[in-house]
Order: sequence, then structure tokens, then C-alpha cells
Amino acid sequence: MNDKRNMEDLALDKLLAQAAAKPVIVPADLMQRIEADAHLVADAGDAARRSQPDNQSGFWAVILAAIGGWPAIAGLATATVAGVWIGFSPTSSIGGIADGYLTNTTYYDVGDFMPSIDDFLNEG
Amino acid sequence: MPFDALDQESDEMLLVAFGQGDRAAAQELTRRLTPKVLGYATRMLNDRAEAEDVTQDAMLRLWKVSDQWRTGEAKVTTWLYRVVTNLCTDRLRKKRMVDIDAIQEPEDGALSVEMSMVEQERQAALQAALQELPERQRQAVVLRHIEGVANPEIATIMDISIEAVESLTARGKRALAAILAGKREELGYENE
Repeated sequence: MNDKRNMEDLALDKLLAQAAAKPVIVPADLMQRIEADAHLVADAGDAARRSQPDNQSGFWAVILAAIGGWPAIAGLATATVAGVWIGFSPTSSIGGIADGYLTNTTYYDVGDFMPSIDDFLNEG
Repeated sequence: MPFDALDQESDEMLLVAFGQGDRAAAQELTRRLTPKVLGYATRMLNDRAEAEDVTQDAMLRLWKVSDQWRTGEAKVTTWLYRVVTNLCTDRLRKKRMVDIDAIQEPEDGALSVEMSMVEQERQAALQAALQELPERQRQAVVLRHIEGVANPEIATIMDISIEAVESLTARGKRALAAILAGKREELGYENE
């Protein structure tokens, strides 16, 4: 009985080993369908990567994001141009104060710049 | 990645490379993994067309997770066998609901190679006997003894303990031996 059982086990092991050793034949059209799926997924991945901001540029991308992106750059540019313009053609009052300050012929006190707190300063 | 270096790379590295857009990596993975998936699905479903559908579906799911694959967490083959197991279970469940009495002839087209008539008959008998096993026993026996997957990996694939895998494979083999014992003469084992 045991001999018969052992023989059956051996035959089954042999059969399973043969099944394991048999190469599986994959139809060419199935391979093509699977590779075509892979290409579609890769194409979608490429498109997604293209639509994302370029994270490779590192430092400047971080700076740009930190100050609020391109709208903030536009604001900074406007302020810079306005500053340059004011520097070239200041109003007469600013010109007088600036001349006095730079040539050191006139002394200006805080009250000259902020007349509204003059009384407060005098009274302590 | 250079094309001739692809066959040296692990499945995982190839999958990560594909996730970054390397199409040649997908070609190599298809060549390596499709036979395993198709062989397992065919053993489980005993239906060539359904096994091909499951294979394509499982591979598509693999492509889709490639860009989120976390290296070092799971083997690609373990993940894939698990997906195939679930897909086959779903299909077998639907099939049972559609026609519980439908018993198909063993279909071994994807597995056929040049063999003697006796060997082919024996392999067909093995495939038929596998279909008589309960589904979980069949999964465990096919993964362990035909696909050559280790018990801890089967435990992950089937989401059970290693002891449960050992029990399933032992009971599955006993049941297979009993089924095939009734066909010894028919399969020409009496003269061996």
C-alpha cells in the first residue's frame, strides 16, 4: 500500500516537474497588444511630465515660487521702473530736500518730514 | 538604458525605468513576465481566451503603477501574481454564477510544445485534475509546484500565513494524487 502510494507521489511529482519545465508559448499578437498598452501609458506619462513645471531648474524655480510667481515679478518690475523715473525727474519739493541733505547746507528735523507730529514733539 | 544591458537588470529596475518613460524597459518586462502570467492564468482558468484577457489586463495594471512603484517593498512578480490571482478569482466567480454545470474540456493550447502523445495526455490529465481542486488549493499548488514560487511569496500573493500555504499545497497534492490514481491505467502508468 505504501509502495503504491509512494509510486503515485513520485508520478505526480514527475508530472508537476514536467508541467513546470514546459515553456509557455505566448501568441505574438498578445505580446504586441501588451507592448501597445505600455506605449500608451508611457505617452500619457510623457504628456503629464511636459505639462508640469520644470523641477530640474531648482534654485530659480524655488525663488520664483517663494516671491509669488510671475505676477510678483511684474509688480517688482513696475516698482523698479517707477523708482528710476522718480530718480530722474523728482518733484520740486523732493528735489529741494534731497539737495539740502546731500550738500549738507541745510539742517532738517523730523518735523520737516512729518509736520503733523511737530506739536507732539514740542510738548513732549 | 542601453538595450543590451536590459537583460541584466532586475524586474524592479526595469519597471522604475519604464515609469520614467523608458519604452525599451517595457519590452524586456513583457518578454520576461508575460509567459509567467499567461501560464498561471491558463492553469487557473482553463480557458485560453480568458487567460489572455487576464494577462493583458494584469500587465496594463503593472504599466499604470510603474511611475508610483516604491522600490524595495515588493517583488514585481509577487505583485503581478497577486493581481492575476484576484482577476482569475473574479472571472471564476462570474463563470460559476453564469453556468454552474458548465465543465470545459481541458484546454492546454498556450502550454503545448513538442511532446510525446503519452506525455501530452498525462499533462492534459494533470490540467483536468487541477480543475477539480478547490480554487485556493489550485492556486497554491500551481504557484508552488508549477510556477516555482516560494512559500513566503505565495503567502503574500494569497494573503494567508505560510502555514496555511503549506497546508493548502499538501492537501492539494494529496487530492491530485487521488484523482490521478484512478487514471493510472488510462495514462499508461501501470507499465512503469
